Amino acid sequence: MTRAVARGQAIVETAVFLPLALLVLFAVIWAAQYGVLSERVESAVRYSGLISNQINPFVEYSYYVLYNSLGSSSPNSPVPSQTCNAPTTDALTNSNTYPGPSMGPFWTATAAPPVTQCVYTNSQSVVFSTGMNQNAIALSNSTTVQAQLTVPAYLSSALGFSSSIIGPGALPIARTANFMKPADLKTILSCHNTLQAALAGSLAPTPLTSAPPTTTTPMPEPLPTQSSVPYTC
Amino acid sequence: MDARSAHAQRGQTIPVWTFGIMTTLMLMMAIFNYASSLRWQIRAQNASDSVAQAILSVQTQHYNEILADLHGAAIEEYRIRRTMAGLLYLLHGDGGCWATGAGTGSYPASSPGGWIDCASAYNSLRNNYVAEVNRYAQDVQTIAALSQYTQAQQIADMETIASTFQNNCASDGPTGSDCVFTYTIATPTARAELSGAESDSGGENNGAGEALPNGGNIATDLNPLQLEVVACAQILQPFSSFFHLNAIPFYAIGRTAATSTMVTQEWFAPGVLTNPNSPTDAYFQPPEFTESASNSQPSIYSAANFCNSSNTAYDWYAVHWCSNAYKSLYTTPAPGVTPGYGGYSTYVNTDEYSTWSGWWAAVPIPPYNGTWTPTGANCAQNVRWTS
Repeated sequence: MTRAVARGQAIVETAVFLPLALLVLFAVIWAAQYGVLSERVESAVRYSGLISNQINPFVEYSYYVLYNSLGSSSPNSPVPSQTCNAPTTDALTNSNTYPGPSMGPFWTATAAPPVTQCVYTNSQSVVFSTGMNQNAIALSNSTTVQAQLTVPAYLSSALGFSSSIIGPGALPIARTANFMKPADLKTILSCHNTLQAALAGSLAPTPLTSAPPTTTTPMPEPLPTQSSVPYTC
Repeated sequence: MDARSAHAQRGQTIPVWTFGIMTTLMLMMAIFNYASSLRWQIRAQNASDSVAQAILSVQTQHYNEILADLHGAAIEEYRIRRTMAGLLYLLHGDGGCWATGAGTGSYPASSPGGWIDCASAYNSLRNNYVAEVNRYAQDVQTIAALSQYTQAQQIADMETIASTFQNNCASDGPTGSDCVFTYTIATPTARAELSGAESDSGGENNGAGEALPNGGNIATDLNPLQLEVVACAQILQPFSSFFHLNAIPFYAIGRTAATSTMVTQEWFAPGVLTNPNSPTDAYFQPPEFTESASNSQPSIYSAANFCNSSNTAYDWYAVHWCSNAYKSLYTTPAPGVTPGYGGYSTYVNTDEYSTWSGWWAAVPIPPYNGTWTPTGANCAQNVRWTS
């Protein structure tokens, strides 16, 4: 009879602890999934930022862009607005175009397709003027990658995550980063109004409609310094 | 074995389960910490790459502004020369104009079939000359203003931008840097060679390039600079302690070196190439008939002949940037001539204006500043991993 009493103790204890152990084990798996995916999101942001910052010689640094960025006095159409490459979702969806090793479905985003965005406009020029000897302009493009990871309901509730962090069954993993680079010619001219006016006068002169001053204008002494020139982007 | 001993057997597996669960929990936390450190290292590198590029805009923009304005001034200078030549021809009675009542010398007394009136042509040329000189003065003043930017000022401005990012950034905003990090730059130094930059992240090198002659024949203020940026923050671990196991904060450090370099070079024939953005398919620098008050082409001159001075219908008063039919040489070189490729052959028998220039931007180079320490990098301390 005493043997009968002892029999089953381990089973009872196993029955008690096994669910907890499995829960923790699933948590480990989920943590690994989350960790890998968050690293991939960060990598996707970096990849996109780097390729977005690649120089496009034709529309950034060329006589072509110089002649077509002369402002309202230019007879030409302006250079088309810069665009940037949206972050690739391939890294998150196991597509093959992402230049890296493909991964198993377990490591991909779940619950919803990844959302990517890249914003790059000339309005996002950053002018550094305070405390500067001359103004400087950088361009910034904002890259965002967002993926989602399914979290089993029993796990999210068991681990006590608040609903503000984890929605109903999905954990968003988002990352936004700004990538900057030196300003291209179009941005420089659109901000440096004095230079743009001087260039427009020489490269696209307006035909005379009335007689100019009878004499040439003498050079001022001393010549102006660049620090006195405001930038208006 | 009695009931008492049976009671004593209860819970014997609990330590095993507890130990197993605790170990698994530790594994999960270690995974979390490791993933966090990976993510933060990438983020730090992103931040330093971005800031290094932004800081170098100080110099690349400076160079590009000068080059752009030099082109405008050169165009204007050529225009002035042509206009002065036109005035000279006109005053000598050459070039093809007629003057009422003249009839002597070179001036015909009436228009021999489409010739222009000398008096009106003179007024138009003169007015254009005055306008051109005034515009040229504006170009020169702009260049003078741009040129008063010493290397010391450039370096000071680079350091100002770095401190701007560190103290007044806008994290995750549309235009800011990553505020989590502190940014430290090694004192920018002049590059010893003009093109000793890595061409890609794989380490392919463009070669040492041409060394700056004598280190001093090129003005210091026009010497390309290189700099190194360190973005650093001490990040707290997601799970910093578990019983008596402590995971100490780690440093996320991004390190980037970059330099100013001429990223594009181009040869440009403004009077020959058509601007694709022109609504009328005009040349980049269309001919200007400065002898005409309305800048219209005198009827005697055909568009096909406005570049060839050997043609009888050549317009001696107009400003035109013509060029030539260049031929690229890819054939076997002539005896004794090497190399036989990569060059151009041309006959210079017409007017010509062409220019060769390049534009500057920042490119990454290998870090060069030796060892950085967290203290030297002035790392931000105790940053939450969720920041």
